[in-house]
Amino acid sequence: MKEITTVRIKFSKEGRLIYISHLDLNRVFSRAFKRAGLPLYYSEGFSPHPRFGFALPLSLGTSSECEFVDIKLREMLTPEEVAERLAPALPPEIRVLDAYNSSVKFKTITHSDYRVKITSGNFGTDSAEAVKTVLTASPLVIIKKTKSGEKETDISPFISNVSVTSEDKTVIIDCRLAADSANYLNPEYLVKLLDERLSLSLEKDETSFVEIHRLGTYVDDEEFR
Amino acid sequence: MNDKLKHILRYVEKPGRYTGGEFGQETKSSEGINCRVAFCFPDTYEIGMSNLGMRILCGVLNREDDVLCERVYAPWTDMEEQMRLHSLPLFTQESGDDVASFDIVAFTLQYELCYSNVLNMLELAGIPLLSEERDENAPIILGGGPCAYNPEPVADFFDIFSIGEGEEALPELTRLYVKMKKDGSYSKSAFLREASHIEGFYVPSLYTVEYNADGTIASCTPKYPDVPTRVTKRIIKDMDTAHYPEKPLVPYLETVHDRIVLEVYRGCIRGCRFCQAGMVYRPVREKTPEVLCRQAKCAYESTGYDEISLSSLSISDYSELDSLTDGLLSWTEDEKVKLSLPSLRVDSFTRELMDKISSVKTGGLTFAPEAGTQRLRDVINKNVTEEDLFRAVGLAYSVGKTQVKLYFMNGLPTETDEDIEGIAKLAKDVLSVYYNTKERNRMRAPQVTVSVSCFIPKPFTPFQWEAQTELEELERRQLHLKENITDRKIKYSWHDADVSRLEAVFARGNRRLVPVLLEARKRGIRFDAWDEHFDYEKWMDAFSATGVDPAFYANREMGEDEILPWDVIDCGVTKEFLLRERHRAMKGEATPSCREKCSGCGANRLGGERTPCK
Repeated sequence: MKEITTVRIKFSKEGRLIYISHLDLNRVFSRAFKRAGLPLYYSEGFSPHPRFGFALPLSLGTSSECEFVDIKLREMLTPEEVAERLAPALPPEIRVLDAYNSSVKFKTITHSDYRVKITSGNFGTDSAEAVKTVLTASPLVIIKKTKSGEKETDISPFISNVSVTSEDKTVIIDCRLAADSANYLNPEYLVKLLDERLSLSLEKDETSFVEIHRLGTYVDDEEFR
Repeated sequence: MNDKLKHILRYVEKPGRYTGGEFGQETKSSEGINCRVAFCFPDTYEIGMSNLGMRILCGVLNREDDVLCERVYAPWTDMEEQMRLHSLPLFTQESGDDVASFDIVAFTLQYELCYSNVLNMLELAGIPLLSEERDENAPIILGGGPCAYNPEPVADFFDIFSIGEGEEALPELTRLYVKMKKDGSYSKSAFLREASHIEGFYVPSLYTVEYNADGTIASCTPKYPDVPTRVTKRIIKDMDTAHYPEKPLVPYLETVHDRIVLEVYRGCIRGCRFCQAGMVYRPVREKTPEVLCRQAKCAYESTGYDEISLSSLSISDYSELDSLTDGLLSWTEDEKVKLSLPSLRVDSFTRELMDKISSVKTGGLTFAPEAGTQRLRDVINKNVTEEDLFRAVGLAYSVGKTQVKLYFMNGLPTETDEDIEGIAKLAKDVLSVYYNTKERNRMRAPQVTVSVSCFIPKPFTPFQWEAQTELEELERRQLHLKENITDRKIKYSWHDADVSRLEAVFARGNRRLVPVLLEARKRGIRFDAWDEHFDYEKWMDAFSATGVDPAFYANREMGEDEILPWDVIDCGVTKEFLLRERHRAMKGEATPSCREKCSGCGANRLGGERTPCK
């Protein structure tokens, strides 16, 4: 059996599905492919596995409108045919946004844009200004979890295009964060940082609210496709 | 999803446990609903979602036009902490509505160690624990499942129990509920009285239990003449037409049994004398391969699962196994769908089966000789010989397998040190089979894993009267076995005896255990089936605080003429049969399987299609 074509699907993930992990998402797709009856390409060997892969992991609790999965097929199908079959087999919280053939590799991705909304009764009057001051400081040193344990990292080079607005007790942060494999910055670090620096007590304050949404994915300044 | 829940979900592990909305979930309109049922599984989401019985019963209830049935699982401890902190009451998966707002709250009782979770869930729902403390506005609390065969230790918490298979019984109960609500005759007591007339329902508050001075039961009598003196379990006569979830929900989180579960038949033709399931699910009733193949195909197409598990107490005893596996394999291989089996009897392990079943082909092998000597295997009626075992492992070794797991039990009636030493010897002999197999896989070192649990006397088994071996003695025997296993290629693991002791207490308990469970709740006990939460000392403190002696239930041989707490239930198998089997056991006499010769257990009077019973 030979791989004939690879189709890239761009999809969104929202609603209840933001609460499932990256590993769970793998299973969601592998079952959806089967429900859709797609002729998947399987790896050779003792226990064959379907071959598909995602662009970037999305952390638990985050919604997105720019996720990507590459599917390898053993029969020639157009991207449109794949999308048409796949869309109804997916949970309603995952929508197919686009389907095409692409040779641009996932590992070329450098940045992701996020919108982070924080509602808290503990914001002061100049909340937007205060948030912006924290996020644009340089250096900005946090304890970051890495594969080799926790270590102090200056994350200021990984944050750009910060704009902050506020309305009542809600602060809306738009920002671009590094997303290449070496310097991937999880937006949860920003929330944690603001929680600590601005004494928001997000966990204790049950009127508090955090929403994180991935808006776009980039190769330098070009939108990734 | 409400804001409080959204807030909390940021701070718990695996929030996907609490959001519902799994793939395939149908939203039933709340219009025209006359009875709302919250169906609770008193353990985690991952375990509850793996239970086929609960899926079947939710399915049959939702098939009723005016009934809405939603699911509830026990929140894990981090979630419970958040719920208590933020005063978020227990809610259902589908709508997120408060459990306390439902008309009926049902619990499936799969194992005794879940009782503390039942009470915790009631408390989290804000529902009073004791039936007598609940007023007209509180939901009806319904219990069912295997532990309901002895409902007595939890009798005061439940309003009503469904005994046996619930596919037909539960809709009959909701229909009665709707009828009485509609015609204005409903009150909690009138409803329960009326429900006690439906076959298979036991209303514990309608019975008076009196005790002798020694703590044994003097009598258990209905309070009114119209209430049955014994409640006979319900069965589904024709399994082919029984409800099967052909479009099962597909969880997003990985569950314990994350696959299609195909129930091939109910009951068991074997008569292992320690096995409660083998007795209470009688008579054997098979599904036809045609129906099973259709259900499997349908479930596959709607879920996309890559594994189908053939489930039954002893799958190789299915009379049409060949045509079932051939029918399934005709499409599963092309679709890359694996077939798996939970376990196999050694006497039915064949080359052909190995080629057909992926879990047998690729996984390790597990056999359950249960006892270390032929004498003891005859006592328990396991009907498996050493030769069967050696032949099976020899076959496995000859096709390259190196890992074999053997299940045994400690503390079986009449067990001596010789039987324990027999386990060590058997494991060693299995290892020798490897070295004597010419075609063995020399690339990998062989390993034999010996896993030993403790015998627990269970109601409705020939061993229901037996005392469980004392805790210290069980631990001594575990150690004795350890000392007898000297080969490093034999791995030995054993179950904690204190867990088994608590299970024995509740398995054979009566209503006098109610205060102990209440005390356990006060002391914050829950998730007893989880090693990291089980606290034997805490339990013993609850027993002494309430003046109840656990040994009376676990370690006492019950009299053959004693009134047993579960005598009020008729599970089909008669007490005369169980006694006969007990006496044969003590003489070391085996009893043939139902297919070889009917042993007159009594379950045949319940009827059933495609059964070996006459």
